[in-house]
Amino acid sequence: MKEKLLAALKNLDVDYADIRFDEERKTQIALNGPQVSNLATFSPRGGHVRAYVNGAKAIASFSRIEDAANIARQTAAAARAAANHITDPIRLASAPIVKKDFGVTTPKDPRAVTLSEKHDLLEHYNQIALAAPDVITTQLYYSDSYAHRGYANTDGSCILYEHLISHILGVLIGRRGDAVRRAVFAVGGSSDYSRLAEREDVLERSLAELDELLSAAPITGGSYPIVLDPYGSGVFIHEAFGHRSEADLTMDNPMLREKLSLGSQIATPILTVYDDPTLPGYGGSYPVDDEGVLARRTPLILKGRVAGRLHSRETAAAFEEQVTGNCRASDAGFEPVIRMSNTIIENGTSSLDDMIASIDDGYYVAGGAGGQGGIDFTFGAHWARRIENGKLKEMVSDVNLSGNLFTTLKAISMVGNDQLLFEYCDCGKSSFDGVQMTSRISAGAPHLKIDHVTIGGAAT
Amino acid sequence: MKLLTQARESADQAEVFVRHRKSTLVRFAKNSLRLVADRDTSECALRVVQQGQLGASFGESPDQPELLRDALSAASFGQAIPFRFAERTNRENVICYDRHTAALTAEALIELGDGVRRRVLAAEPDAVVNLHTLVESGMRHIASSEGVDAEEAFSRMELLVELPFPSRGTDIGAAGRLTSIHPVSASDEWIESLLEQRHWGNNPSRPSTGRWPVLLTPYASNLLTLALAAGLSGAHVAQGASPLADKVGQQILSQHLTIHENPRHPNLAFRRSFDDEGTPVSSRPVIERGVLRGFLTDLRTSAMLDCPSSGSAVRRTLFSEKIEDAPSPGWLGAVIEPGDRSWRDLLAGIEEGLLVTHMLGLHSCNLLQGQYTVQANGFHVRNGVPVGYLERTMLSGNLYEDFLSIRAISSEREPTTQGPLSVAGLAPYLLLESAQITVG
Repeated sequence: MKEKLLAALKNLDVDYADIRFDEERKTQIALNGPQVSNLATFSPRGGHVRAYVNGAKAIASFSRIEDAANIARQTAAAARAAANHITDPIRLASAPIVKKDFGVTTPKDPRAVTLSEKHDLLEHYNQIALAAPDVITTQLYYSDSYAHRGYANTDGSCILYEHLISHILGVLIGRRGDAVRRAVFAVGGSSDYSRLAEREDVLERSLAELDELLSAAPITGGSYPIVLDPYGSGVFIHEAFGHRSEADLTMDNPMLREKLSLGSQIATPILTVYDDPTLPGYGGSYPVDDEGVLARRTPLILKGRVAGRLHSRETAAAFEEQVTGNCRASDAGFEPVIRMSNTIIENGTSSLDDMIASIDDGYYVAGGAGGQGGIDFTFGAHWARRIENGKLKEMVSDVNLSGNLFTTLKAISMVGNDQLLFEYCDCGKSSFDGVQMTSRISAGAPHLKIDHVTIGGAAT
Repeated sequence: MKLLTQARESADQAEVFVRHRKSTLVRFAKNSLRLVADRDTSECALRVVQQGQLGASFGESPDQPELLRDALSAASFGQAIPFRFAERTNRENVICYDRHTAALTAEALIELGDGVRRRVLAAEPDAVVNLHTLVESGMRHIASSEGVDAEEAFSRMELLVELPFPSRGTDIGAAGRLTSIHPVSASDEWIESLLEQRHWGNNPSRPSTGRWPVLLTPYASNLLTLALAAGLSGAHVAQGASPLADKVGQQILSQHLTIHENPRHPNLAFRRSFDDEGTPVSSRPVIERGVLRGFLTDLRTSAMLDCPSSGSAVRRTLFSEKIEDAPSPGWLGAVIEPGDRSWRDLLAGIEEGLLVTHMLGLHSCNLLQGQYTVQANGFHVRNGVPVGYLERTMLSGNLYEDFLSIRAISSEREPTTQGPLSVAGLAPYLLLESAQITVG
């Protein structure tokens, strides 16, 4: 593959160009209630090329490596034509030349497991779920993905690298009377297949949550102090701050650039956050990004002050900062965009008991059901439990939180000492040709207490 | 198709779906050309049934030899499936392609974008213009061992312009989208309406917590169509999870609301004549004056419900549209009937309320039960006039309660796009009598 990629970059008459090609092998199994709704193994392939001329940028996606040289020439021509219209030239930060290959090793490689064994494992979990009281249906998915990627650029980098990830994600749907509720079961999110087996305890916990949710009343809307569980804290930091640490989402926003300038006190002094793709064995772990930059740990918030942000070579130049190795494409053929890797909140000193005891009227909020992040952000939780006079009370449902980046991070008053790193996570980010969904991310966090958060709710 | 012939020799049933897409996108950011992007890709999906069991495989070309091997291997597990692939039926073609659209070059798109940029800046020199112009075209072809052999070319053009509110950087702002099978252009009136929105967003303004009238723009009508899709899905109906399962013939929404599933409608930007399983699509009422008339089904769920497929199979999820997304029931063209008053009349009649242009967080709601709690973006309205942009404002409720009381529907409609958290169709402005607002 390397030879074809390097050949495609020859004599392009550009300031800079790079090219990536992916050969993947995927397995997907989907169970919908008692039925298999999808069972597939397949080998998608695709490539992506970028060309820069006098500050103009053109990119292209293609399917066949045989077309790489032709596509690269066309893309270079498109960049030359676009250069006539440029008023704000794009620059690229320098990055070390990398000529190295990165393989993947894992305790139990999902590629060595038969399709039959994968199907039987998913079916085993499905049988347990479908047998539970009030569960009316399930949607269970097994997925593994192996990617063999080649990358080359006109600076001289030439790399072969691999990604491998497997996970099981289940949605359990229950009905009691008119109430229909969902719980989520998710395990894996790494290259190690053995993390998927013998996880009945996780499934049973999800089924117990569903059982309680089916009798739970919808939450009452308002502004409350809350305690977020570690998973909720991870989703919170991802949505509330993580996306704003991706420099492509702040680059063109003068107000955000000023407020998020290095050293600005953005959060409570007890909060420290970093991004670390070098942690071994998590969904967001990788050795090199998709523009050939080696992965590294990046501090984002140190004691409440902005300490860094996540960059591509374009944004690093625009901010006059160093590259961080966070420019990644979710799939074959996509343009790489800036993505978080493993987003971690460092442990604090508070105990969960102290956090609960400090609240007279609020909620303990658990899990993350997805969200969206801007200056204002929102995210859904799996469930919440009312806190009254320092005691946990009944469970409530339909929990969606909203907040403002600049006020909510300063409203964190306690950081727990019980950090957990998560298994399966996923995240979507828009790029020019649609949302790039990826499960190659993760988050880790302890419990957090936030003094005031807006909770939506039909009842008030 | 050679792959289908080979598959028929080895499997009881086979279905081949091939999609070729070519697109060019030009993006301007912060008033400057930022990107020219081309895409030229092919995708192929093969589904086989062997001894009653389903297997699938995907690739970029039907010529890949491993496709059949992988699909047959996958078909050796699981239970028997309850359906057969689509059979040959008479299908009336519709025009989904305009050669003038397909012929547009990057240069032409740059010229269009630059023209819009110049016109906005001529009127508002301090404005920041972010926009993209997109043209895509291609071919979809589906053939099955049961006799379907359907093929159609498609094209689409889109112009999306965003003008950030001055005090919010680029986070939120005025936005407008034009999309069609045919070439689109920005009229002076359309640009003026964008500039008007930008002025409405000069300052934040927050309503108080309580129940207020809500005017949803056509783009924000996905609150209705996405939540309704979960209840209408034949899969959820068959499994007893949908609250609509036993409600056919009953009033479930306002009598002002009539919604057809009509992917053939001439004004749709994603017009088509067959679904992603090759079943012909047609116009049929799903909601008629608020009364539920039917569900969205594909081959699998129609077999479970013992009815013909409604031609609503889509290879798509809430966020993605990938060849490997298994077909499932969803909207292909949600066409909401218009009302008889202009949207400006509806706005003028709001003493205090919200004009909601889009929402955050819809995907994390319990849409299956109609529950929604989202962050509302748009404008606070007083005495019929938008007085500032919304911030920290959450909109909550239940579709099957709040959409029972629709005050009015606009006479104007706009095409909506198929994409992440959005539904292809045609939607007017919808004025809800009231919805719960929580302000932080």
